[in-house]
Parts: sequence; C-alpha cells; structure tokens
Amino acid sequence: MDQQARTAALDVESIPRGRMLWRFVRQIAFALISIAVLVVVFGVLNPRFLSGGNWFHIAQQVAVIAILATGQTFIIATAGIDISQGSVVALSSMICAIAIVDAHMPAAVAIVLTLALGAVIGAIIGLSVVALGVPPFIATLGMLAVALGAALLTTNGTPVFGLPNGFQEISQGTVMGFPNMAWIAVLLALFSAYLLNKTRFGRYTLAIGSNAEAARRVGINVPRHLLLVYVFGGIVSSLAGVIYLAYTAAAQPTSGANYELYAIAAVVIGGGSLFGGVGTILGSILGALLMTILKNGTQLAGISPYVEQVILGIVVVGAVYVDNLRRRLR
Amino acid sequence: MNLRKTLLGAAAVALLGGMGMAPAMAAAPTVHSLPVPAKPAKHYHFTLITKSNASPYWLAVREGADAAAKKFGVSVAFEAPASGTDLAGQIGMVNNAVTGGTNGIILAAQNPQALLKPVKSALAHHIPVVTVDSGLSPNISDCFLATSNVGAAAALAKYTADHLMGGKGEYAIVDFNHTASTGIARPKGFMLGMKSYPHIRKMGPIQYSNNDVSAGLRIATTMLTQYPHLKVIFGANDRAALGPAEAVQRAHAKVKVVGFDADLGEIALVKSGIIQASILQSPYDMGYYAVVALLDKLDGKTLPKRINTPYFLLTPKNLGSSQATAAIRQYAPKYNPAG
Repeated sequence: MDQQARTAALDVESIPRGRMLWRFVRQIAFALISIAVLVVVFGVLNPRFLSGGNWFHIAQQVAVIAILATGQTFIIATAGIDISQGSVVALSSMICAIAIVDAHMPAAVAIVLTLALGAVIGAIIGLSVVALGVPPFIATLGMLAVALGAALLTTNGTPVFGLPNGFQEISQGTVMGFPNMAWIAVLLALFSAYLLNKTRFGRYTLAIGSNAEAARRVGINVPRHLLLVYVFGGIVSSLAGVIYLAYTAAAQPTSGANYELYAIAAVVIGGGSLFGGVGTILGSILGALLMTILKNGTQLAGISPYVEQVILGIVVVGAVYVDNLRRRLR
Repeated sequence: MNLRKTLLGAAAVALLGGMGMAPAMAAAPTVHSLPVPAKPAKHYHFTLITKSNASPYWLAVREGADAAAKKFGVSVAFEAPASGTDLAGQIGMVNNAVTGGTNGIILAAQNPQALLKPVKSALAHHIPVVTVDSGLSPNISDCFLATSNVGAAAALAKYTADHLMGGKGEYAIVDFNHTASTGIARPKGFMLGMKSYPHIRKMGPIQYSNNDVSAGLRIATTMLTQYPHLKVIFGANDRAALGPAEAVQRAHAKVKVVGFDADLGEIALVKSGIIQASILQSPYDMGYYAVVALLDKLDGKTLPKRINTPYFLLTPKNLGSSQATAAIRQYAPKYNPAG
C-alpha cells in the first residue's frame, strides 16, 4: 500500500522527459489553437488588431488576470480554489493607495506593506483550511466578504485619488517597448513555472492535489504545505491589486469584482483540473491571454460585447470537454 | 427631431411654470447651441462606451446615439463592461477603441479621474471625445452633455419638502454608487435643497445599493424598522429607487419614495403612487446629441465645453400629460401612456 502511494504521489517524477513534454503540449493545445484561430479571425475582420499598438494594450489588459491566474494555478493544483481574489485585489489597492496618498509612504514601502497584507490574508485562508478544516471554497467565500467589507471600511466607501506619476509608471512605463505591468506578469510566470515544475514545493503541490492521503503517507507535511500555497496565493493576489491600482490610477473599494472567476476560467482553459494534481503556469497564462484577446478582438471587430460573453462561456466549457475527451481517448 | 423639440419645450414649460421651479444653472448652453451637421462625406465609425451594458438607462443613451447615426449616415459601436465598477475593463475599452481606429468616442466615465489617461491618449490621436452623463475631472473632453445633477436633485428636494412632507419630518437616502460623479452629486444636491427647511431631518448615513435592486430592498426594509417616523426615501437612480419602492410596498408602509429616472417598473410605481416624484433625465438626447457634437467637431466647429441636458419632474399628477409622455420616451422611445 505504501509503495503504491509513493508511486502515485511521485507520479510526476517517474514519467520520462519526452512523454512529459508531450503531455504538456497536449494540455495547452486547446488554448494555443483557440488563440491562433482568434488572432486570424480578428486580424481579418480588423487589420488594426494585429498592430503593435494593439498588442501593447492587450499586454496591459492581460496582466492583472494573468497574475491572478498564476496564484490560482497553485491553489487549484492542490484541489483547492480561491474565490476571494477579486476582493483581495480591491482591499490591496485601497491599502496601497492609502499608504501612498494619505500616509505619504514611499511607493516601495507601500508595496511591500501591501504584499505583507496579502501574505497575512493567505495565511488566514490557509489556517481556516488546514486547522479549522473548512473547505477552501467556503474559507475563501468568507474571505471574499471580509476583504470586501474591509476595503469599504478603509475609507467609508470613497475612492482614493492622487497617486504620484512615478507610481503609475508601473503600468504606463515600458521596457523594450513592452508595458512594465506585463513584464511583471511575465517574470512572475517564469518564477512560478520554475517553482511548480523544478522544485520540491511544486512537486508537493501537484502530489497533494492528485492524492492528499498518498502524499501524507510518503511523508509530506500536507497541512504545512497547503498553508504555504495559500500564503503564496495571497501575496500574488495583493501584487495583482498593486498592478490594478497603477493601471486605473484610482483605488475603488468595489473594483476587481468577478476577477477570481476570470482567473479560474484561465486556469481551466489552460488545462488545469478543479480536481487537482494538474495544471501548468503557461497554460493558465494562455487562458488569460485567450480571454483578453476575445474581449479586445470582439470590440475591434465590431462584435457586440454580449456575444463576447457567450463565446467566453462556450470556450470555458469547451476547454473542459476537450480535456475530458483527451483523457478518455488515452 | 420633433419628439426632442417637444420635450425640450415641455421640460422648460414644466420647470418654469407648472412647478414653480427655475432650471438650475441656466447659464450652461443647451443642446440647441450645437449646429445641425451636414451628412458627412465620409462614413465615420464612432464608439459609445457606457458604464455598464444592461441598464435601461444606458440602453436609452444607445438608442439615441443609434437614431442619430442612422440620420447622419454614420455607425456607432456600443461597448460597456458588464459591471458598473469594472474600471480596468472600461479603461481597456477606450484604449481598444483608439487602436481600433474609431473616428470619435462617446464616454460615460465610471470614474472622473481614472479615465483621464485613456481619453488624453485618444485626443492625442486626434480622436474627438464627447462625455455624457458622467464626465471627467478636469473636463478635458471636447464636450460634456449631462443633467445638472446637483440642480435637479435640489429641485426634487424642494418639491418633496413642499408637497410630500409639509415642510417637516424625516427622510433617508439610498445612493447607487459613491464613486461616480452622478452618485456623488445627487445626494449632495438633495441635501442642499433640504437645507432650507429647518424642521426636516436626514436619518442615518447615506446607504449604498451598488446598483442592485435587491440590495436597495434590503437597505430600505431595515430603514423602515429603524426609523418608524420616516416620511420619504430618496433613491438616487432607477435601481436605487426601485428597491425602496418594493420595500415600502411589501411593508404596506406610508413612506413615499422619490427618485431619479424612469424605467417601466418605476412608471408603474409612479402610477400607483409609491414613487411620488422622479427626475427624468434625457438619456436619449445625450446619445443623440453626443453624435451630433462629434460630427460638429469633425467638421471643424468649436463646441461648448458643457451642455446641460433638460430634466423633467414626473409626479402621479402629471403622469398622463403629453409632456410626461415625451419625457418618458427619453427612456423608452416606444412608451405608450395608454398601454
């Protein structure tokens, strides 16, 4: 039994490199093919879709969702879920804005403070899950309400304006013609992909998601690891809040609503499974990119935003269907 | 054009004569100060970006813009985030419109400051921008068409105090959004209007329904228990008035609701007397004249920075009048008072 459990838990390691790559490609195939199709269709409908200026805007628009999808990938890979991301974005952007505008802190200090807040939020969620035994959906549902209420309480509901231009450089500034906020998302994605695929932290994450009991039997400290995953997720959500703030130049306590749903959709489109054990960072980023291209392209092509919603829904369900089909055929 | 002319006349008559009210801030120019454009030689593509995509109010703005588009041979694409608080979404839409090569943008800004950057970028690309309903601060758009919200809300307060409260008693406010310029201006105007009545008191802080009718219903239900002597609840837009109206109906309370706007649900409630007064704005005209303003701008004409669109105070008494019908048709162009 123990031997069996060990094999299950370390499943990820035992597959030969070539097959790993093939599995990876198949996982992200749906997102890749969909993006290719959309780019061709929108490019034909409005050639400006392919212009450099438009890709710049797409890069800006995808950043926040891509960052959230990165954190969500880890949590979903453990068979958990985080539906508090949207309100954590709102609370983080409020705190960061207040620290800069009202408390006159240097932006760097305010950002560190905000990320620390994210870590605390993640720790609270993680402790609710592992110490109190509350299911992740409920624990984060609670946090969704708490963070939203806290965001409203910070200023009694009023927005915060007057961020210095230097801070807005995070979204407006560029490096090699690419917006800074997108660079941040790319760097986070590279780091997270390394973390998920090349480190013990990542292997444990996937192992717990495939079979928590087996993971426990091979000696993984499951509660401690889950706690760390949620702390990581909290920091990432706060980072998304900081980026959102730099992009909108105004902190609103109700901003970020529904962003967790986009992040979850991005993970699912990218081949992640809500049952855990499966998920890639690149897949999730492609999922986020697919949704952003859909929003941007439908507008440029003059397609009604209502139709865009319908297409998005079909894409999400289609992604899961294709994934199931692939598994059955194997 | 007939419909609009009738309405403007009607609103002016109603405001000056019928209700003993002066139109607020008469100094700002009206939609008539915009020259009627010639049919352009080129087929222009404009983009209308409202705050959200499913409110009857924004759909009325869209209908107005579509009517003008048809008349002058241009096209108007409609864009809006699903929620009225998806600021990043709206910023993205303005940027997308610019890269998409639109010839002009009509915008109802979710936030007066946050939309400055994308609008600046549009203007830098020589794309004219006309704001409607909710503008920018500072107003960098080529022209801003809107109700004088403070003035209209103050006029509503005066009517409420004189006709519904007898100059004394308690009232409460349900606002729809604390971040939009309209959400800030209307409660401010209403409280301003009430200031001249020493025996009238506001109960509790302003409550926010976030454009959710059920939230408004919940808030108002609590208010009815909390303040047993409450006479009036002011709902700052259609969503914020519908919730309290429903609460009053369910509780069979004697409280009167006053508000803004007129979707068909609200009109039924005015008919039954639950809503005793509502400020009707001119969303259809905002959309229509925003297109006119864009065409004028592209034609090289100078636009006034600010245009006050007319409003009409709807009450159960004047509901059957032709003026009221014209005002309601700003929201529902096919409205038929008999039906």
